[in-house]
Amino acid sequence: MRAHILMVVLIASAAFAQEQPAPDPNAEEFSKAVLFGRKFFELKEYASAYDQFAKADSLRPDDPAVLYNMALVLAKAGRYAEAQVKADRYNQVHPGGVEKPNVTKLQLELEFQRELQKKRQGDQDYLELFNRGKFLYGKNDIDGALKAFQEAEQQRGSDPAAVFNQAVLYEKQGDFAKAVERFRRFSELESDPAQKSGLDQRLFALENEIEDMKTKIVCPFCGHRLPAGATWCHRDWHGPYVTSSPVWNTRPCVEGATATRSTYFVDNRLAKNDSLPCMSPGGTMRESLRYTPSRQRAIQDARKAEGWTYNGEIIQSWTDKQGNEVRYFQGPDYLDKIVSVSTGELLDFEAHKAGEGVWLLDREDIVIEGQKYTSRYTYDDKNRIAQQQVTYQNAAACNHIITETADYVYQHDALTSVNIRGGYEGYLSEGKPKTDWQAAVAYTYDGNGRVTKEDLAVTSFTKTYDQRPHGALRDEVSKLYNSMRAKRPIENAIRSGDLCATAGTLMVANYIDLRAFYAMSPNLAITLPLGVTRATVTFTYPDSFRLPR
Amino acid sequence: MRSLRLLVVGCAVIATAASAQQPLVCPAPTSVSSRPCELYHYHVQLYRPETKQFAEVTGVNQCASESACEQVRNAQMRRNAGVVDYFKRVRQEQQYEPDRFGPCHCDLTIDKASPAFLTDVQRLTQIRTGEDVRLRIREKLLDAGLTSDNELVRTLISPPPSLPLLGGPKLVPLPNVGPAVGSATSADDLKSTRVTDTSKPVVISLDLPLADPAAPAEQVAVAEAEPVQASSTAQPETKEAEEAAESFISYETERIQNVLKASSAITDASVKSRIFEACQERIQLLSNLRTLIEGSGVRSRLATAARGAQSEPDRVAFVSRLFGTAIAKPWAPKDASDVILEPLPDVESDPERVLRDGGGRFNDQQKRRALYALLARYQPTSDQQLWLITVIDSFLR
Repeated sequence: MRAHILMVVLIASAAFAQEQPAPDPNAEEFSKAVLFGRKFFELKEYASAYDQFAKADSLRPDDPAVLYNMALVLAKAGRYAEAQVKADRYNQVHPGGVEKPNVTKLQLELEFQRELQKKRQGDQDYLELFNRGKFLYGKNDIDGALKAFQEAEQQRGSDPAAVFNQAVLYEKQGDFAKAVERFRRFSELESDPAQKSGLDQRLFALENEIEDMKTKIVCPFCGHRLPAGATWCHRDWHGPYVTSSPVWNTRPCVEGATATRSTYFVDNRLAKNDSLPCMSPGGTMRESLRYTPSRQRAIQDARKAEGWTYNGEIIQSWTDKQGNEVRYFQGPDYLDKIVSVSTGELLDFEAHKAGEGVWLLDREDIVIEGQKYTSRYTYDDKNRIAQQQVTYQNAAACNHIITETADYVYQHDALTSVNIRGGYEGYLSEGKPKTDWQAAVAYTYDGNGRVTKEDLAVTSFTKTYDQRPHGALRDEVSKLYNSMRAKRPIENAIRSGDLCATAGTLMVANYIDLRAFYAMSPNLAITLPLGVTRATVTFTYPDSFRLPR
Repeated sequence: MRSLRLLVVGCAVIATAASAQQPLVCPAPTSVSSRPCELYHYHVQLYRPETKQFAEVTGVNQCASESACEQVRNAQMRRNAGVVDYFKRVRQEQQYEPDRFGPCHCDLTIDKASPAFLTDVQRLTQIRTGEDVRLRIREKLLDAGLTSDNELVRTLISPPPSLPLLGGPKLVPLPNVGPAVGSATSADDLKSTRVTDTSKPVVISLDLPLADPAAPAEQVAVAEAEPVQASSTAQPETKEAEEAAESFISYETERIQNVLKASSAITDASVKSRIFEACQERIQLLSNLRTLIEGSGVRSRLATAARGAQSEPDRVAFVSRLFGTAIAKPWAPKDASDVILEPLPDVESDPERVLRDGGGRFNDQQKRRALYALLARYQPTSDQQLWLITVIDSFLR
């Protein structure tokens, strides 16, 4: 019985021993690690907190609370991937653990963080794209920058900045219509009024530019904006820019357009053939001179590179390294005079207003190859040149004071002919020679109103000495015209030309100089060589070439 | 006859002497002109060899600057000196006189008020006179045996200096207009995007407590007990406040997680991005709100209201009282995109300033919206938390 009782006690003791777990030798260390982990967590020292929980985990692997805590502090520390591993481990080992609801929340948060990271990456990519656009813009790669901002808009259609920047780039490219559209879109997208300050003024300026591009031309010399009907640029008196004139559209730079000038002696022998270069890139003069901001800027930049200065859009002066200086004296309405300080030359201008922004010259001084001419213009009721009178002292020959007059004849809207007469009365010492000549320029048009031929013919030429000069001058005149008789026209003067002096074996002569009639035609404003009495300019155009309306 | 010749010579000498006494400048103007001098010129008395008289010309040497005038005058004097030298030294004509040159001065021949004024006809007459004298000298030089290409003869005509630039073509070709942009580009021309805000830290706003490991034998039993206990050391009142916070915040956290899930179906990256932003802000706000509820005490208006917000209408009413009536729709969005709040830059740029405004610049609704912005975007300090509890208390009053 005692043995039985002992047996029972032993068995009971053994059973009890089995129910009572063996004391955990690491329990204290484990509890300490957990406590420290919690303390670090409260201090938001997540890395240290994790170290403590990891230590606890090593002491008691896969403890559900420690696993969860590790996942939580890793998440707090931003180590989401590691946090996910711990959360997964928890789910694997303790699918029904007491921390399960919090683990589920944690997993949701981790999922959110993944999404957030993805979004942040997307933001970063977008920002890089945006910055690339700005970088390219800084490098003046406008096309590249535009592409970047267009791509940005595709990615984030509601970002007003991408649209605004496109507008700026289109503006830089001179595509103002697109710039306006983009600025308007920006205005729709942007809700912050501060971001839209100044936008209205910018749109207004752009719309003005668009209007100017439709209606204005640009002076290719100074870049000044002119109404399409202006004949000259009133800020430098370059021109003419008669863009609707068939005569000024005879030399377009288009395939199939040609201009050939042939000159003939009085006996119809060919003197010379000249192939005249084209003048109007892009076709009509209107197109070639059409105002665009980039064209204006290119012109101004070219002039500035040559040494010209501007006040706003108005050209002012020029200097070079040799100390030469040209000053433009700009009046309130137009250029009054040009002064060359170093040579003392003075060019005077007088003009009258013929429309908004249109000024017509009444008087001008021009210099062509060192020879100064003074022109006076009159106009018909359509503001077309009716007459031009030119006077000059021919310093290139015998200092005669020569007068030339051109009368313009129009039929309907077309210039049909120009009748020119010229001459002078010489000085007493040389026998008072008197020279008179007449010439006519005639225009032929095709069915499309294009000039097909421009004919110049010297129709008369007379030279008569009033008296015989004295001494050596008499001998000199005899060398010029051996058959000269006082008060009798020189025979065949049209063939020999207007000779006025000798220079050794050379003859000095007054040529028929039509260069001052530069406003008449770009093709026949020439000096006729001695004996040449006729010039014909023939034009061809491609069928597609049409004059501006 | 001899006496007649003497008389002529005598007259010539007297005329020469008389002309030599002339000042060779324009007479002084009668009134002082305020205008600057436009033109300069010099008077010159030309010696006529055939009459041995002088002819004065005043209207033929105009220059736009005094320095240019001096250059032209000096050049003409040099040429004349050459001619005089030839006749006196080579031809032994000692009676040949040089031309007389006046100084360069302001040209009054263009001033109608001046006695020196010249009409066009008078000027033309002077030109012709000067040319006649030139031709007489030419004749005399040729008579003397010089050839017409001799420099002395040739330079009798000397064109005035001309700057080639002034003689340029009237119709100039256009410079090449490239596609490139002319004006300089500046980074200030462009706007920076505000769609992305990388300045916000990517900090998890997870609002979960730590778990306490149970003793190994207790683990199974605990597993069947209530969910996570926040802190066994918490005081009863604090615990109640935490529960109040927990009941409200956990529900709202799930709501916002659901919004995030629903947003995955949205294809527009831009909208999706804004939803994420809004959710992130909401999570931040909930975290801050939990702190404020717990910190305000169990009997505070905030904790009481949070605890009482059990049904959906109660929840929306609660947040409307806190953040303004406009928050109702974004707070409980029917569609994921509804969670996005319309921006209010005036309020959101500095929400604390709006909340502290005592001058009536901002209305009540704006202040409530500022509270939302403050809790959604910042982590208030302890001092701010105390102040915010007061602010919220006043909102809930």
